[in-house]
Amino acid sequence: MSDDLRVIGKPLLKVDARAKVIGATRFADDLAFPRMAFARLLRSPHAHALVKSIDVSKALALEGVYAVVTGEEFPVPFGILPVSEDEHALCRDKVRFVGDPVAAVAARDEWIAEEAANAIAVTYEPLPSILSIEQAVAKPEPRIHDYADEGNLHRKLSMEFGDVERGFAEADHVREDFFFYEGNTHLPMEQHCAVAVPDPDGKVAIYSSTQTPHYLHKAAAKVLGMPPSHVRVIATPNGGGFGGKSDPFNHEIVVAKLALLTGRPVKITLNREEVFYCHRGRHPVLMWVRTGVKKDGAITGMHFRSFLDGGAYGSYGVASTYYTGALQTVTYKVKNYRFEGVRAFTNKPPCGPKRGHGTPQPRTLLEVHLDKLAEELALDPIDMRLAHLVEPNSVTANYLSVGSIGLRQCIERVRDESGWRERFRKLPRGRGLGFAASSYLSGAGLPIYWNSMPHSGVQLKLDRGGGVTCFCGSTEIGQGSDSVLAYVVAEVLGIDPFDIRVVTADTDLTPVDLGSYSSRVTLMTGNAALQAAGRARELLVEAVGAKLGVPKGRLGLAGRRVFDTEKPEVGLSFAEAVQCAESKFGTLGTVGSYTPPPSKAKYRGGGVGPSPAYSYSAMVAEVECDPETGWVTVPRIWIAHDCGRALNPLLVIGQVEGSVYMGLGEVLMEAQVFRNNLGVHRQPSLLEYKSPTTLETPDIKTYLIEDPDPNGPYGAKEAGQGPLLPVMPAVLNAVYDALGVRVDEVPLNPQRVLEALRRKADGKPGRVGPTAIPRVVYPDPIRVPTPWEGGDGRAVAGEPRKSQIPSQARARNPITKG
Amino acid sequence: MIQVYRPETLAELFELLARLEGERRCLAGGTDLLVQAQDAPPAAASWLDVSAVPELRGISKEKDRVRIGSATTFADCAESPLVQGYAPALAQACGRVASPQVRNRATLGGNIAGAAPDADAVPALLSLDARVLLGSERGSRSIALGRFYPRPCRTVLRADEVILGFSVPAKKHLRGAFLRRGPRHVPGRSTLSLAVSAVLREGAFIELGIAVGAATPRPVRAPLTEALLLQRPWGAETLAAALETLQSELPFTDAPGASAAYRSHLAGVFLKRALAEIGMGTESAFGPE
Repeated sequence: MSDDLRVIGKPLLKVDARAKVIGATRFADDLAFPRMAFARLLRSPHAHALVKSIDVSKALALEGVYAVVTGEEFPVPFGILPVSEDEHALCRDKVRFVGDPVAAVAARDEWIAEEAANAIAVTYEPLPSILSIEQAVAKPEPRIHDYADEGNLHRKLSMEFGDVERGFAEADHVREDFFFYEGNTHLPMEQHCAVAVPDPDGKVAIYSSTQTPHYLHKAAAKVLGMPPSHVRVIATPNGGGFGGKSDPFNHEIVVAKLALLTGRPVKITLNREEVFYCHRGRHPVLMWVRTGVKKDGAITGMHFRSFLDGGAYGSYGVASTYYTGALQTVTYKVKNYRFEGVRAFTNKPPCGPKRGHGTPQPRTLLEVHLDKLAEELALDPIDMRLAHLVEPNSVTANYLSVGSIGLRQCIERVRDESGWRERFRKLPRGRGLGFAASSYLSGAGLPIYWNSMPHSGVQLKLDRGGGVTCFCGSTEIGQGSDSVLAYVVAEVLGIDPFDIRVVTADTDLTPVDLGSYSSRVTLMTGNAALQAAGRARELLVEAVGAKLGVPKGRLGLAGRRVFDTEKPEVGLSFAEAVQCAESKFGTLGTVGSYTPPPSKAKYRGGGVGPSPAYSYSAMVAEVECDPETGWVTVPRIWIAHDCGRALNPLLVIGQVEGSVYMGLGEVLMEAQVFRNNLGVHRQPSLLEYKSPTTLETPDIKTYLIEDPDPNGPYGAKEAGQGPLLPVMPAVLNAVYDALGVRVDEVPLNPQRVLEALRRKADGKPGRVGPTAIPRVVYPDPIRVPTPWEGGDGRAVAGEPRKSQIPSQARARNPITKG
Repeated sequence: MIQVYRPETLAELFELLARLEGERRCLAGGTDLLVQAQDAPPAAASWLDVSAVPELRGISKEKDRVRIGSATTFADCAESPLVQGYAPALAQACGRVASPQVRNRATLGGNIAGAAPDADAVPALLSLDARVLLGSERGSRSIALGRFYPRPCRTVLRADEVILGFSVPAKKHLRGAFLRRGPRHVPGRSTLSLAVSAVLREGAFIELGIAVGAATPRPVRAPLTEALLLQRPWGAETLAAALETLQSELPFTDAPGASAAYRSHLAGVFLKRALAEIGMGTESAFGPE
């Protein structure tokens, strides 16, 4: 890469670092307004019940209560995906999980609001509840929602690329595996908070710890029945999001309504228990895979099935379901691929996107499955993978366009640094090494609601004093998105990142950015900023060139100067350059925007998976296992991540380490679990829900592989989610190396390890995990010929999606005992 | 509304406990009480801050017993040569409760009064045949810790009583071990804790206390296991029999991620390791090797 970059690639401070460190950052809960009221929600104690009546009279009679609202006030449904707008700001006829809100109070203080909420009398008529995937398959009634594809199966998907049976026929060896990945939650440090402030003219502003102000803006305007121009959403800096603040939420819309009703600012800060009810976390997923391979490990066919336990609402679930089948193809070549997915509704807090969104579960199974295949083929698991990597600039069986791919360098790096060759399968009993690789999107190629507008926009305002203000709808959730904007603009304009004021995530002030999800921000806002800054640069060099009599192509911008690169002493300060340009062109402002390139996937469902660029990760985990107690500790991790180009290596390493930490929590201990038959969360507190601490965090060796992608700003790809993906399978594979047993379940808790050891000692297969998946009649698959069959990305059969004719082929291929 | 009082003498404390009505709680380190109150603020309660009452603090040897004041912190207990010498299992337990910050504030009395099934100090004290000293205006009484919890999560403490302290027999050559483990290293609730206190002579148990916490509805002694180890000649067979007895004699309960069967197994592993730690190691056939 060019060495003349002064900002990009340097380990600079985050622009918001000082404010965070000294406690000056104003998170949503830090906001206070005169006459502000406080809101509390009354939540359902039932997992599934009809709401027969609500009596709010006692609450209203309490001194200090300003307003009480119920579902009556919210007839309009909402939801993040247009295909599943199944939520109401407060439940109207029915509650669907323990914690579903039915009423809300605004009062003088939080205690009065709480007391008033508890004084609301709700009459429920309990309904039988559905609490697992198996129950949802077995019990179509009572239906949790009436719009599901079938009974309580929210969505059923089936798609085939090429001919997977032909792929199996070509194979030398075929293997099947089952896996269950338990749900878990995001656990951001900051609890969700929203403050709504009414305007005297009937407008309302919502300050909220949301990752997606644009989508909240759309949903709030719709539910409140107001023109979007009368609703302003400001995303406050998020104290962590991880996907848990990506949906428009009940409480955000409720406080807006209460503010409009009372004429007062209204604040709600959820307590930690309520954060567990908001959830939208990792779906529990039951999976099955069958893969055919040649003797050298080349994959001739792969058939993957996933069953997602969706919880009570749609949320991002349809996308999550597609994601469990989308990215299997972007790491190793898969010649024929078939995917079937089912998402069930259950009476539990809704699942949605958590870091890695729908891909950690299938990736975990896939990487464990490949480890087992390699052993059966007597191949080293790393060598086997290296032999079949997807080529750069290629198109996969499911029409995902892969640009740069640094996976080979990633794999080789961790292999060599970890001493794999000398140590794998050679460590003493109880110690082991495991490997896994993975890939993730750098932003979803398509928006959540169909439109052809840009995904990200940036506006720059150049000040006569030499400052630049950068406006963008992107949301700082700790990942460094504000800094990325400043770095890109500073690099192009030759100024310091701290000369730039970044104004973000305000629907009244900033151009739309779709939000901080799908690892899209660096690539998309970065590109928009690059365009806006390039246009500003153009204005400056035009004006300065004319003034100095230097051809504009010869001018350079660096060190807060615009100067002749052939005679650097000839030039203007940046402030003078701005004044010069303003004199010539009038008020200075430029815009930039970014829209991802069109996808090659033209089939229904092809909207999930395409991305402008894919990041790659490879990891070796070392574990120590106690065969008597089943305890697994992870002393060392080697992880290499291909982020295209590190705009700031410190921030990328931070994301990688954070991902490793979060992945270890998922594989070792975290589980969002419920009391049987009640749907009551077993551990809705930080005391009971266990997540790792610094004491459990291993020595993490991070290697950044920079293989610049032409679609990324300065070549940058994502870093925020991908590095989580290899953690779980690498640890599981390492446990096998250490003890010779397989835990085909996440989390891998000590008793499961012990049970596997016990089974092995009894002469049975040394494995714990599921051995069957439910029988489901799938719709006719959407059939898409692969690129190497001459396909063009369009389906040749199977559309439209809702086929009511049970397929003969599927009926004779039921699943299946392992 | 919570009223907080700060008596400076034992007599004042007793008088307040007797005079005040409604919920009365002694406030020492506050690591439990304040958290509870934040979670579910009591409508009305009287809190008696005992930090200024000197009689409740400190560790001393009185004749043949070691006395530990109820307001003694975990950190002070863990570092006390008297506790290390006469109650080694307790010293270990106190040194491993939660985090250093909590250990510097939280007190032994609070741990016992809270009656949590997983209170780490309880199995250690149980293994030591500890007695609880209770006081009120009506006088003082002492009760075996094993009888202090009549039911899970309940104590025999009367509304006007305060825990003055604990006493354990000052036995020479006492050995002890305390093991605990939760999903994480620290801090957090234990999946299981186990304490052993023993006097050994010539490779045999002369006296033995084994107690288990966190995995049963309340911390309990394991009398059948103790009897077996005291009666049979020491060796691998005896150990195997002891582990089996331990696993069957206690009412292990299920928790998320740790079934009763797993906790029962873990109790066996912990007992074996605790015995090895006090010098009673053996080649064991135990465990799925």
